[in-house]
Amino acid sequence: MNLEQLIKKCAKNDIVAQQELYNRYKDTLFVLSLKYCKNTEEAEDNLQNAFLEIFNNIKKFNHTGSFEGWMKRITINKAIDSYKKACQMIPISNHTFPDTEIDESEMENFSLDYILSLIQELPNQYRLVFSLYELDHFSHAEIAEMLSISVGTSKSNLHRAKMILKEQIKSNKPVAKVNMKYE
Amino acid sequence: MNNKKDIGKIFNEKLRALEKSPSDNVWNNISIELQKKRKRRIGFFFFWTKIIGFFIFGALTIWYVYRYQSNNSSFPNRSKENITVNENHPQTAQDQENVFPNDTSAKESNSALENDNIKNLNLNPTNNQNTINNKSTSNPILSEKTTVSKKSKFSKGKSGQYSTTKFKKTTRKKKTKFKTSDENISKKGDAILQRIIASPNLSLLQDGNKTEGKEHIPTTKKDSLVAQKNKDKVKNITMRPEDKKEKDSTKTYRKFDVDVFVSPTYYSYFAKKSTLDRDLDSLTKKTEISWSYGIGLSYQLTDQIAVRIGYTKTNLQYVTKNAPVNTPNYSGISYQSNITNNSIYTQSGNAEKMDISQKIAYTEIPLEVNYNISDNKLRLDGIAGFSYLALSENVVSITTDNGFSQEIGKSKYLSQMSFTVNLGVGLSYELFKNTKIVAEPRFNYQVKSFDNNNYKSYYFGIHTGIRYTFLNK
Repeated sequence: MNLEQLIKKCAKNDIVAQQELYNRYKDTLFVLSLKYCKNTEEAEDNLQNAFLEIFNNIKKFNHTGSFEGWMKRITINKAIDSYKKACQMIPISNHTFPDTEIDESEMENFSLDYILSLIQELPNQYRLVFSLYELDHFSHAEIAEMLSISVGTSKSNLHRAKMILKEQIKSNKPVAKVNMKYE
Repeated sequence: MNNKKDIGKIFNEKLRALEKSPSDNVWNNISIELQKKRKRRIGFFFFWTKIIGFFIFGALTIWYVYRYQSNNSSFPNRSKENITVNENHPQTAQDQENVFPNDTSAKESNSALENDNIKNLNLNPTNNQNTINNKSTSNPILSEKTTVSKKSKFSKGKSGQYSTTKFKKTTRKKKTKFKTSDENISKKGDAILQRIIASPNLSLLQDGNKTEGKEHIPTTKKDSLVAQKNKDKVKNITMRPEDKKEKDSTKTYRKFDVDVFVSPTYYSYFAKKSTLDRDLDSLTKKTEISWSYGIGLSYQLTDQIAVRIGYTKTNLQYVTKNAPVNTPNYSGISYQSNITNNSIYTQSGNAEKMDISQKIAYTEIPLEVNYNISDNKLRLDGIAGFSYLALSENVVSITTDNGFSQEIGKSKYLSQMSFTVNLGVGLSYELFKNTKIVAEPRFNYQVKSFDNNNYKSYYFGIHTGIRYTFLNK
């Protein structure tokens, strides 16, 4: 069954087609969720919510863009919605960004799970901006719109996230699980 | 060697290789949510179907009752119409059609009269002060427009002869014409007519006589014989078969039945497969008897045929015995969040076997025809029809061999709505007047009960309860 047929069947609430679609994209969207969520459980919840949203709105997909891109955007939006409520997106006054470069060899021995955990352990607002900008290549303007913050706040959040990660890599210790808030 | 890169780029490159899969529970939860949504949508649809159905049923009932009542009351209604006194407009014999008034006594007299019975009656203009006159000479349906004078007179025509009268009436079943031919009126006829008028069967004419008419006793033997002959005719007419039939037609007969019942229900499949997993096909299955209950409303179409609609809560239970615990999840079960066969295995203290119990409940709307085979004190009916089933409960639970019990999810492929073909026999015994005790063994074969396969499921029950009959005339 090609993708178009699958989408049409899903639009008719065919449970078999819905399961087929889920099986095709579950891994991609799960990895995406992992980058935006704090842990596996929350990523699974996010994936579940995202797929329900996808099935509810699949009739609205207009076949002009990439279907996978459309689903990814829904998945990211779901994650943002979850954390946006918990975050206090207060602008940071410090706009002087120190260097965030590291030697690649410092991460050579890090497993993928560990690298993922470093991101997951970032405070919510930093993680969202970092993942959106660095991993999914949204611009600061887009991020600002998505998170209802200013472009400057997006930039400073990204920088703070990188600084935390750099410190963590240097010390080779996991980030403390503290839900940091802007000062 | 210094190979510095932005930390974001390094993370991006590294995480491209990340591959992870979500647990099975994610899809289970998604499918549960999708089914809930489907159920809500179906529920909404059937909510409106029920409302529309209710109004259609109500409208049909009102229409029927209205029609029935208007049939019953056709005479009294008509009696109110166009009853006028017409003493001043005598008409010619050719023009006149007289109709009896429509009060109760008139009904009797009307039904007693036949066309020819007062033909050839000679009316005496000098003695007779009774005129039955008809205003609506042009209207052949005299029951629609009737003109009656209490002080009725037989009017004199243009030719100077007294007109004969036509009596025409409509009963519920049959129109009866009553007219006399256009003849000379004689004293004899007048006397005979007076006799007829005096007859209890002709209360209208009697009414007219009560006030002004005097009874004319025949003066000769011949007169007497003619009068007697006519009297006998009138008597005979009063006993005509149509009247008897009419009397018979008022016999009381059944209209509506309301019944309430409970039913032990046995559920199974013709296909020897498991609905939960192919691996469970070979295991022993067992039906637990469940109790269903409901209410029904029957309407008697004819003496033998009744239609019945109802509402039944049908509860079914099916158990798969000795299923292995420590295996991958069964494909036909939508497991609840965080429950797997492995978690059951762990939580139960490493139990090896478990009984998997499926509890299913339907809201059933049957539409059936009951055909009466025998109607004595013990009534016997044949029942055939179909039911619409809406899934209202779907629970899968387990009990392990060491006694651990848990509700684990639901049967994945059970259809939200399905149909059954119903066959049965109805036995009812009259306990009191209008009240019967009922036992109806019924077999229901399910159609489209599963989304993914046809397991040929069926259930069998004995509806046992009370039926109350609303009698109607």
